Amino acid sequence: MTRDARPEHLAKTLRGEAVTMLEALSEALFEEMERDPSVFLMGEDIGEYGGAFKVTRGFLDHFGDERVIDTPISEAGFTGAAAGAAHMGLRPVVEMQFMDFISPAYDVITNYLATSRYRGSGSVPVVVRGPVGGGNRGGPFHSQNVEMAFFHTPGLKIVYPSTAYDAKGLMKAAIRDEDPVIFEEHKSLYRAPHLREVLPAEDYAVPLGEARCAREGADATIVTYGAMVHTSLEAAAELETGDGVGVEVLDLRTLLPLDEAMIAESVRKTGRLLIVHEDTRTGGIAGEIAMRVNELAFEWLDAPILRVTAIDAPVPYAGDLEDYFLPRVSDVVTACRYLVGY
Amino acid sequence: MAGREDPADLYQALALHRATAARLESLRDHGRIPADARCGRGYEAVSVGAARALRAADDGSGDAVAPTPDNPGALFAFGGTPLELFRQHLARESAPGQGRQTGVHYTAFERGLVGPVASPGTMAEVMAGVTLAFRLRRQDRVGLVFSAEEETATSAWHEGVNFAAAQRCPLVVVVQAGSEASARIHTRAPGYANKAPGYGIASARVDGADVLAVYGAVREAARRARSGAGATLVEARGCPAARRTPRASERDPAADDGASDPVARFRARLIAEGAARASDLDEVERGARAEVRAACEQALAESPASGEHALGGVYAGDSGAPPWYRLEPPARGLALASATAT
Repeated sequence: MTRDARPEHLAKTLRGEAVTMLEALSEALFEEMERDPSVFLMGEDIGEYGGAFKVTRGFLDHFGDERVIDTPISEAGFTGAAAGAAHMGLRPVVEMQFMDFISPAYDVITNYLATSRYRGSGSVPVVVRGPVGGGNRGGPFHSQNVEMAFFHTPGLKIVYPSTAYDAKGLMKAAIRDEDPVIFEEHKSLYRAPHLREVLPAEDYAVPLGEARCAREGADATIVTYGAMVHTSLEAAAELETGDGVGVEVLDLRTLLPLDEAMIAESVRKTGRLLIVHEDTRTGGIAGEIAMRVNELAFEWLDAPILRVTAIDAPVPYAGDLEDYFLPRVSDVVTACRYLVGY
Repeated sequence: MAGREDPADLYQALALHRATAARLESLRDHGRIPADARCGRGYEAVSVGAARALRAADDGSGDAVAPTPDNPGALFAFGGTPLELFRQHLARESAPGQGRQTGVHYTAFERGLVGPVASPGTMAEVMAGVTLAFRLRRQDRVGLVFSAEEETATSAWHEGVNFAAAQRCPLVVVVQAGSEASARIHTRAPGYANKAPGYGIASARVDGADVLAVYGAVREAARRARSGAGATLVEARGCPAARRTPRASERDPAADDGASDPVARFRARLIAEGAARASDLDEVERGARAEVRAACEQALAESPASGEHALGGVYAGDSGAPPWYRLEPPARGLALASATAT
């Protein structure tokens, strides 16, 4: 039920212009809805308002109110409804206005969506997407990283891109996937100028479950994802220049399933591993990665596995507090120096 | 489907539900299935009357129903069989769920069966989505979700019903209510039907032990739904307050006087109205018991599901991998790396 031509702001890639991560995500959603009439969107204020961050600006006019559905404030209700619609052959993409608000839907995501295939109730191709992350003075309820609340649940996939290219390609892959996908979008990266890039005009998808090597190095490995990819790359550049240390940076892109093969391969090469995540420390993904490396590459380790993370606290509001809370480039540099000097 | 409101057919369906419930109780009392298994005794009229008021098909074109464990009669009305149900309860290799889930918790979308989960209220959300898909696709289909009365107290149930109301979903919500005393635990409303005006949907209150009354109310609700008038809440009063029926040795003989027994009531009515002879109904009951006995004996004789089924079905196309200590020989670290390399 296409009503208007493709909105101009969603045609930058077609014109060969660079796009931000947010624009890349918008293009991915738009193109998937154009490609597949079973794809539709649900969420709070995504229609008339275009979404809290304007990811779906212009979608309502183009696709109509049966494919861009403004919902009641009912995260559990519309996520459960997405599962039902998926059972009937549709491919819903639901937006959490902020991923902090996903907690009311925890029950239906973990007990229904994640178990559906296993229980014999069939696939649930639903994408649950939304903004995450700190650094924006959003305080405790608009800054969380939610991956580890779901990481422990078999049946789910978790995606967390760090570049515009990956955001678009991973979103397309997530929508086409037959399993439920939690898709985290760091809001600090949405409009970051340094992440603008010209994307391929042709259709592409980035496979789920495959990490990428964001920087090669021989002396230590950093495993990270999301906004911390850029923090880690900055640290790696500083270590190269100042210390002559070559740090390999792996961008996980997909947290679940975890690309343990690439992690193990890199650790076998460098013998040292640092895990960096913006999520809080206890129960963070660093613990799982360390255990996988222990199982797969212990014999290659020349130093203890270390981690740099946010501190174990709710995300504070005040700038100085949040800056203290979040991992810094200097933290990563310090940890890497310890590793290579061990 | 012809004959869905024919009294003789209705009685046959009630008898099949009752015989199944009795056999499940026996399995439970003999420790063959869990002691807290819900068997469905007393829910014959609401199960059969509601489900048979819808259109069942086996090619994915019919209506859809989400039963609770109390509703074997609804399962059978949509193509489920006692054999499937016993295989599920006994976790047989041949069970639809292959031992991953029990009882009515299985799905056959082509027949319109949507398997429930244990989280109270979730199926109201899911069926809101199933019926949203019907509406978006302009399909002449209706969905029905059975809710235990306690589910109405959950946020999930509220969000599901409210979503269905807001989106004008063709959904029938059947609340299986007990007595006024049991309702007092869950609500101060005079009845569950009184909640409907708050959602802006239609409602009906019927005697849940009267199969024809339930049939009539749901048929009207389904007609409204098909006409585009949206959801209806049907309160079926008089369902058993205690869903776990007592063991045979615990049962109060005085409670079996037939006054509240939906099967006995319909039997007496058919005889009183001259619609059937007692001997004919006896024959129907014998036939139902024989069918159920044969199904149960067949399921008991079949092989239990093998443990390897625990690995599969978590993700699409993924059969899972056993842990390293179950490999032959056990392999991790160096050994696993070399095994992978070869």
